Amino acid sequence: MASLGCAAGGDAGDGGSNLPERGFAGYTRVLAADEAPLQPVEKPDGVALGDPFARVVDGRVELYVSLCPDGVPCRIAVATSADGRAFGPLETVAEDPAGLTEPYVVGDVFYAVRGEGAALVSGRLDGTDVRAVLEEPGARLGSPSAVDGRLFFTREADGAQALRHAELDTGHVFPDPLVVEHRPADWTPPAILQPEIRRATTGAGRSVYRMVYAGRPGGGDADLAFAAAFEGGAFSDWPFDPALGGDPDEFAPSNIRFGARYLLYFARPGGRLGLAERVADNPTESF
Amino acid sequence: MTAALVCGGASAQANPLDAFGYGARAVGLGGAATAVSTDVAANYYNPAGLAAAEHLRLDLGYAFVRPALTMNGGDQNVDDSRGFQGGVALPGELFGRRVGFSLGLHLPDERVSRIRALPERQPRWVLWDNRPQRVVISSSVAFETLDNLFVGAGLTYLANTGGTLDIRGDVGLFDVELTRLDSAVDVDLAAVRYVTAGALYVGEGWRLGLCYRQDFSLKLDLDVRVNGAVLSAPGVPVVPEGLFQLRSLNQTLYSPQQVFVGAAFDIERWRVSADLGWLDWSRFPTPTARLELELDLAPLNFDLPLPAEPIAPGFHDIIVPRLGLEYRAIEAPWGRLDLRGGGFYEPSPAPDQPGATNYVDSDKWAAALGMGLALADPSGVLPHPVQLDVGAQVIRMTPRTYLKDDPADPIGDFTAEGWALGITAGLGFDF
Repeated sequence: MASLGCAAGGDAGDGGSNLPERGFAGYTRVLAADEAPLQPVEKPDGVALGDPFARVVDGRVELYVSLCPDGVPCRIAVATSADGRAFGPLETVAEDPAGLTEPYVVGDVFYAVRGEGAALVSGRLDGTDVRAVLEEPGARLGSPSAVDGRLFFTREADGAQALRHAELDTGHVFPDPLVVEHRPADWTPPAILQPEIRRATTGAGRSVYRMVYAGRPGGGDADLAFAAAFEGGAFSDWPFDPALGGDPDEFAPSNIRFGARYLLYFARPGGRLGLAERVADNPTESF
Repeated sequence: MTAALVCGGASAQANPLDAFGYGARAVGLGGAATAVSTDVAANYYNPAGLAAAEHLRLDLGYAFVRPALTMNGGDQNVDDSRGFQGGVALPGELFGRRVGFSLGLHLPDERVSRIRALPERQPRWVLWDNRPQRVVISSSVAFETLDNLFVGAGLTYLANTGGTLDIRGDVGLFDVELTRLDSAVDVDLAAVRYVTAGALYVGEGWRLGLCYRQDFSLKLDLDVRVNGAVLSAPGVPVVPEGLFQLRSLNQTLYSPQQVFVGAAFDIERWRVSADLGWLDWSRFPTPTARLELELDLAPLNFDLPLPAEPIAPGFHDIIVPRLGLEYRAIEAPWGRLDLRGGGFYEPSPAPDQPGATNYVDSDKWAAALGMGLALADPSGVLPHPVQLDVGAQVIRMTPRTYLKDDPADPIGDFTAEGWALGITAGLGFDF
């Protein structure tokens, strides 16, 4: 981490300032107890929040979450913020008798997991037109990301978990699982957990698939990591992963660029959310 | 005007003098001065010209260069280069042949020396970013071999930097109170010299020059040695005589060997000068520090990971054309006025950077303007007119896009471009 911060964000003393930054490094946790970030979204009594998905719309951050009151099926809710830290009240976006979790939003369409993962659904943000886009009895589907006509998701069956992708139009699931190619001796988790994939534009205008995910190397607490791919096939891991680690469990990440700030939302134990941010001198990745 | 270091002169190397030329007249000619330099600037462009000078010449001047180099629009805040330049050129005759001698000096006014070593992954304008601000001293001699055929050679001195940090004592493993360390720092600035040699033929209305400059590399060598015992309790050593040694070998400034051919023609009030240079950048050594580590904590068994060898930069040779024009606008009893213009094109020697390294550079186009005003001393105290020269140059580093093979590269794709604007002015006194 330290070497990366230097490499990616050096200042004049480091040999340069305004060096290109992709938002992979240098995140600092914003602690709810200290600065009251996410306060309105922070866990109300009897309610668990999770699976944050953030996006920027008209200069404001929209934060979609799974809102799970005790004894009631989870639903998708959203709160907005002008600064990415302090959010307004949660408003329900969509609900389903079986429960909806793990939201991902494109335009005015959301994707989510129905129930315990028997299906991935889509619907409009006004809560209408909710329908299954992928179903597989006997498997647990999760973490949908809709990018360029493809639906990335995780599939867990028979104790094995893999990252898969399918055609959104046809529902055709590509047979080979997607992998993250880890470099030797790198941080190497056994599985990609709760990935979020977006289409990003590099500093030279090239398109790249950008993935943030959680991993539990050695079965311990989850850390947060990045990977990227040009074609959305084999992902390369970021060589300095984990991008955020060492703290008790942090999982289900969502990453946005908000002006010159890269914001990394994640879930924490106890149905709470967390935020880490990187203020970049020269942010070069747009997504 | 002013003193000189080397001949030929590439336009965008790590040295501010190389980057912007030397002397206001040469700057105004776009650096096309191999065949036309006969003053102190000949140290830089062609020492053979020193024997073709007519008068003893004292030069005093100042050069200022402001780069504006960006990556993805973010200004890298590369420092300005500025400093006093001066020197003396002494032409004469020996055994019926013309001879010349010159001494030149460049004195940065911000820092006497600046060096830094960067990891190879960190993006940097490799030929600009580490611009050492150094004191440079140059001396050259020249003589006439056959009629109107001059040869010359010079030595330029720069400073290598080396240093040792020596730490001795005891380290408490569990109790910080047991830690007692004495340190000593020793820094050494050692002179490095390289050779410049040239030839010049002066015909009727034309000149032909040739100049060779030796390559040179300035290094920064740092040694850190830690000797001592590691104690678990007072008088109880876990490691009786431990050693940790780190040696960092780094090349902080490199200038390639180069050959410049220059020609000049006089047509009435016009002088046209042109240079063509070859720069041997393919021998550019890696500008990243190479580390050597040694750890001895016997009887404990610790191994240090071997530092990765720096990746070869893979630069290539380049050909640099330069063109200059000089027009005698006014010639009168009170003096004369020369107007100048010029430019050059320098392709980048740096390859694409698809891997871990980020040695940034791009093609350079330069345009220059200048003037020289010679004013006779009405009091007659000075035997010859005082020469005032001003040269300004703008260098455009064309946009260059770097694409990475690895989609998760920590730096990622980026675009680099830049400008450098400079002005050099000087006064010359002929005696």
